[in-house]
Amino acid sequence: MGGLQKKKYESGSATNYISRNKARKKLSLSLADFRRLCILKGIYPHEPKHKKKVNKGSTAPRTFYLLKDIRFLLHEPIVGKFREYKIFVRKLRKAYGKAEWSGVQRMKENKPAYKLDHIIKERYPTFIDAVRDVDDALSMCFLFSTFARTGKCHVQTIQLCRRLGVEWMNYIIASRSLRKVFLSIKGIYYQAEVLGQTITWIIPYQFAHDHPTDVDYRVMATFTELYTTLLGFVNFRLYQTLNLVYPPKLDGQGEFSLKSECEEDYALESESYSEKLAALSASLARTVPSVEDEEAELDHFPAEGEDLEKMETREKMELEQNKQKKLFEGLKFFLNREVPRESLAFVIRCFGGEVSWDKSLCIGSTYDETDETITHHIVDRPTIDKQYINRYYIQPQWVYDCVNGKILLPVEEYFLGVTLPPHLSPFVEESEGDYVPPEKLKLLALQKGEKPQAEEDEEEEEEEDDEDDEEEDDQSEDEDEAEDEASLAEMEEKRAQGKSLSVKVTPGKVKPENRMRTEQEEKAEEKRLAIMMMKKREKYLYDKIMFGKKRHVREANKLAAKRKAHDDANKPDKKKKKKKC
Amino acid sequence: MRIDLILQPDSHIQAPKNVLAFQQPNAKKQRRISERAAKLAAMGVLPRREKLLQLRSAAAASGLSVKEHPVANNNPDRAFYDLWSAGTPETADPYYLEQTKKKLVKRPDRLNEKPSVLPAVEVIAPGGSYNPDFFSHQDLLREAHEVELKKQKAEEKLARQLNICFISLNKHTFKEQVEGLIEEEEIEPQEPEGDTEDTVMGPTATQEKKTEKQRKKEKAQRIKDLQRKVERQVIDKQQQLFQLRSISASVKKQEQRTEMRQAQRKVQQEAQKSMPRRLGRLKFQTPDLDVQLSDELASSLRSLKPEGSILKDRFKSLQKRNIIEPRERARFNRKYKLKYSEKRAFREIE
Repeated sequence: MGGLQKKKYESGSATNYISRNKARKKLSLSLADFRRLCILKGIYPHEPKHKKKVNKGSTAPRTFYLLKDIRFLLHEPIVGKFREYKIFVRKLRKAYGKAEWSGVQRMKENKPAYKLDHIIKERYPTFIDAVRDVDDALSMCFLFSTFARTGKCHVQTIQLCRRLGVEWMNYIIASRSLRKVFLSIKGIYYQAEVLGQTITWIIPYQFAHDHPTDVDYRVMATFTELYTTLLGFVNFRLYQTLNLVYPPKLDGQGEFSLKSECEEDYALESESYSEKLAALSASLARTVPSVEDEEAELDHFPAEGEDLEKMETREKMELEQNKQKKLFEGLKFFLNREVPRESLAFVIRCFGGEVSWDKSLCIGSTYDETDETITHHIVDRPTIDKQYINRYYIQPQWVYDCVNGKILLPVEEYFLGVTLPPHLSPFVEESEGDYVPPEKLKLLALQKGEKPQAEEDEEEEEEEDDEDDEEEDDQSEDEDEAEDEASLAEMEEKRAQGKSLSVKVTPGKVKPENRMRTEQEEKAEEKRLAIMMMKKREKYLYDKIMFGKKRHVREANKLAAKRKAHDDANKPDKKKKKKKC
Repeated sequence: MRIDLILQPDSHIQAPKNVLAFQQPNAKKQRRISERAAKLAAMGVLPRREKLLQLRSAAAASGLSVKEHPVANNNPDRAFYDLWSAGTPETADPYYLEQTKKKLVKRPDRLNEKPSVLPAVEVIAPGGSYNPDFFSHQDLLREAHEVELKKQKAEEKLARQLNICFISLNKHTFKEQVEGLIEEEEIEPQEPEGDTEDTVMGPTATQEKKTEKQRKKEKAQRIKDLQRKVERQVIDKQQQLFQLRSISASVKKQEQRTEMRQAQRKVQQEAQKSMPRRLGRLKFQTPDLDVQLSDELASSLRSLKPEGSILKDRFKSLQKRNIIEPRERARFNRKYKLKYSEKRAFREIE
């Protein structure tokens, strides 16, 4: 046969993809090195649309990379560094084997290392790109900083992660950008707004973890390597935007007050400065000394394409945000030993509050428990021995719920020994008609400044009084109803008897006309008329649509009724518990 | 000592000097070298050895090391700088920079797209709070329950399928074993009935060649069939005019079906975008829902027992977003089976 016939698998998608082993051989790297390179450069495997074509007829599951991506990898300078490292390891092993200790020492000093700066610059050409990708980096860094320093993964990595995490938290405190906090069973979720980007990250609890065995640590370590570099550069730039000194230094006053304590009790000298930073109790030094100006009223100019309405809503939102940033301003907190110190210190300081803890707990406590000006004392035990008069003793959930609700909630529900209201997730946004838990309704009401409904007032009163009082209340209610019924029955009797009712004619009172109400009523009237005038077929469709729409509302009502039944069932239990306490 | 005095030469004539011993074959070269070194030293240029020596002594004096060791990437004290500052623009020739590999190759734009639309950190459902609201917790429990139900169903299905095999075998083994042993009434072969019925299907003998008559007959038959078909077609076409309504109804139905299928396919495509792609040998296994049962819920933050591991969660999230392929722990398979043998000394005991 002539050689002009097209052969199979020589062009098209079969030549655009390359299998993982072939790619590795093309780069002449070991599998671990190849994987590391792909992670660092951001080269991901692709799933081809027609696997059979790409796999040259077989359907074996293989990992495929785009050939152009691998060709791009060939130009990467750190590939050379990987090969150097391989050679270094070989030479080192030989020297060890021959017991040439001077050679070993010399080689260890000249260990080849590579830098990832150009890769970060290439993958994130602008600063905003980097900020968008930083939440993955943050979660990984915080996770690694909680690892035990046993030596399984480099201790230096863990230290670097801890340092970067502390720097990030200090930046968030200085810029007051924290918006939402959620305590879950997995860890604590935070959401902050940095340079217009919403960033969500998770921090594990500070308890001991048992490490799962089916996680590839080398892969995670490579990711951490990349992410620590990225986070470091992002931190530097963020500190620059706020005119803070990088690497962060404590503010002059704070530094002085902290130095006065005995530092050797807490940490080694080399680590004491970083530990003080990690305490998050002092503010950072600035490059440009900032003078606290009075907030001048800025002239508001509408942005492009915005009407007056939008501008007003935007202004309102900004005002609300500014108010939220000063939520805890003026309040002084004291943390007891058993509460999660770092998380609470972070959240409280993010909103302007002052926080301290016991001296023996951690470095960096600014005031003592005996300080008279403390307004809130955060305790997590059922009872506490000494009680000072002019401070509230509350459980830690109050702080988080205040942050999520953007107002200072009433402290009564969070006292020691009280069953806490549920901790709702701020990441859930209920649309119309969905079930809204009653706690959230209360919160919304509080935010609007309304008092909670009279029903709930009565409920509270009932709970506080004894059962006798409650019975009396019930009786009085019943009596009122009975009275009404009695009067109605009387009137009916009279009419039946034909007597004239003792109804008098009194001069009429002018009811102030509510224009809004009349407009609404008119509209409702029109709607009703239109519905009446629809044809049968159209009405049928309309009924169907409304049925579907009201399904949500019906379900919500059902759930609310269930909840009420559940509460009523639990009320006697709650009362019994209370009586016991 | 006196013996040394005696052994000293007492003649005033000096011993003849061996000129060859004093001769150096490259004396001129050496002289030239030393002159040049002196000239250079006068100008200030030092030979390499001297330079290195000076460097070493300066480094030793100031405490730094001579060579610049590269700072490791994970050094906790490493410094960062402003990576995104404009910096000094390159002034050299771009071609020169390209050829000497000082300028890096441009990154294709395709690589800047994210491989998945899922967010990096997915927040857990509100039922996963440490002190959850009743209904959201019940929702989460219901989801976990459904997952468990599915697993159970799959197991049951498998057991059922295996059971059927065994059941059928059991039935038949008994019968097989018993065949021929039980003496039943002998089933006598029935006599063939009379030939009154015309049910003879005798063997069709191979026929001889078809006769002309038969061929003509068959041809006529064929033509007749064709004609009939054509007539039928014409009639059908005419009748279709009257069937317009039903035809249009069936066409509408088909169109509806195709539209529905198109919509479904689109929905599936959108769903596929957020699903993890199959990137390797192993399939992606969704991680178990982190949920605490009602009696495990903590009453206070102090008594909270965290559930689930964030390390695993991050690993699975990376797999879900198509950044790495799903991986499992590497197994150690031996090529040849291990042979165990007792030491001769131990065999002799007892």
